[in-house]
Amino acid sequence: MDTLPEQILKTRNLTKRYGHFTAVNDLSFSLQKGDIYGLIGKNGAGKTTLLKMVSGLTAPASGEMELFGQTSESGLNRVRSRTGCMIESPSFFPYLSAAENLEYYRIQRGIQGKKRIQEILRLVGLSNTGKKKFKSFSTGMKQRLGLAFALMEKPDFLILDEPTNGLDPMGIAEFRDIICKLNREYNTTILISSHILGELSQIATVYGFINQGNLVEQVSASELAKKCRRRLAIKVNDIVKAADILKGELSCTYEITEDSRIFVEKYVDAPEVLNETLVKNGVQVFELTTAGLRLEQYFIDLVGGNQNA
Amino acid sequence: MLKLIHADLYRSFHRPYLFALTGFFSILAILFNLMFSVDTPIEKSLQFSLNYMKFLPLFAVMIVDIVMTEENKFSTLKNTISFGLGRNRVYVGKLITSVILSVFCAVIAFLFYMGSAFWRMDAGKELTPTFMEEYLLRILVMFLLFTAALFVAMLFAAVFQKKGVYVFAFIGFLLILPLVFSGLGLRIDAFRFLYMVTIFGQAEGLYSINAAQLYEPVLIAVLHMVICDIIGTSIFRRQEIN
Repeated sequence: MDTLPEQILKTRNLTKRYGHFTAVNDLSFSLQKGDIYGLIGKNGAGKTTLLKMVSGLTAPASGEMELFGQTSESGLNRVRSRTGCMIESPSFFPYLSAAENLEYYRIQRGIQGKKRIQEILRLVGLSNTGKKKFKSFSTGMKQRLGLAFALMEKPDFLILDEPTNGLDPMGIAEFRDIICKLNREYNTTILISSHILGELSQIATVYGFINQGNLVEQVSASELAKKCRRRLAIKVNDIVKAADILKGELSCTYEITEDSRIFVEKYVDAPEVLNETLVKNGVQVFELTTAGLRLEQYFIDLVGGNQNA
Repeated sequence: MLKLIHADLYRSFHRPYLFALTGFFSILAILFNLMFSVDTPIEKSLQFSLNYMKFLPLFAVMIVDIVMTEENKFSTLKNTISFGLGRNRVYVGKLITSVILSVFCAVIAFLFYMGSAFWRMDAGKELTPTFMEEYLLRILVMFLLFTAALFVAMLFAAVFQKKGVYVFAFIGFLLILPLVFSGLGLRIDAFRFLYMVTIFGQAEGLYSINAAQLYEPVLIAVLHMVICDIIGTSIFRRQEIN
């Protein structure tokens, strides 16, 4: 069995223009084996265009792309058989059922064994759709079939564009489980764009923030968690005394800001303990709140206001 | 490429449209024979049918609709391309599928036509093996012209992704343009020549030319196929797939 190169995808100055409009501008990024890369950007930021270039649906105006170590057109086409894609909305033949649609692509790709179709339909929860045609599917069912299609050939690299659109909360949770299972058990690398940032924050190991075709920031999940960390913000009558108590009795590290607030990471889930200790030691607590950024807020701060993430 | 063709055939044979189209042509073939009285010799019907077959290439648009245009309409081509299948292979594979479906459709309709002709009419003195040989040769050449029309339809399907525009452009190229050339050819010889290099011009002439001249429509058909394939594949290779 071939050993996968550590780097699955690498782009160098990838650019795509439509007339005078630059959809993706000089974009360079890379994905390591086993990454779940969350691509975050508002509508029209260039996410789908980037995914289309990676999956070979459109050619870049300039720049280079390396996929599984291949850079030539024929080489890229060859290794794309190791990827599973779901770009934009799932598209299938409306007059065929779920099984028939997958059978069409099974024949086309030369995948052995018809039972794979039933396996994959069961995995995404579509095994009981029978002869129901794709045109009669709900949005959630269509998304599930799109996911089934992407997973059909046990890909090494999954490219998913807004995969949870139209899924109900249970569907989203199931989807998350499938993605995490694939990543955990098969070390599948996943590039996923989504507007539901809270959802991405539960699975992504790396984040790429894209705005107006530019990659604004690429950050690991742990770095981002650090940046968005939740802390307790405390305002008291005696900062020096409070600091002593925090350091001594509560064994906390703290940070004091210019506006005389004390920030503490410990006890973020038990603020009443901290409050009680301070009060018991004669410190008056004027304010005790939880501070910290959610992914949405971090993204909005990063790309500027009036966003539509 | 065989897998691509196999998959497209699987899909097409799960489509009632293909059977409806075959049924339509079969009924048309039977109705054609009903136009003649029972005492008309079969060879009259056969000769007459050649004159009407000039319109057959127009139906290429329907076959390509099944194979290619609806992929554009339903945005399903992205599923094929993102798997890394070479675009040239996809394009040529769809052409071959179109030809296979056309053969399926044509053979059934032709059997209905011949069957109803022999069932309803009697053979005359002119229905000799030589007559049938010449007739079948013309049918084969007509099928070649039909195949050339398939190549044109594929090219237009690649260029114009909206079905309405695609059909309009195809009919314009295959029928309206030759008729314009034909009209202008009455005054200017150059247009007469242009008319004769069109598929419709050759299909219309098939009725009257002798067997020795059949190389002309064959040449025109092959020319259309080569040109359309070169242009079609080069456009399809660069195209953004939605």
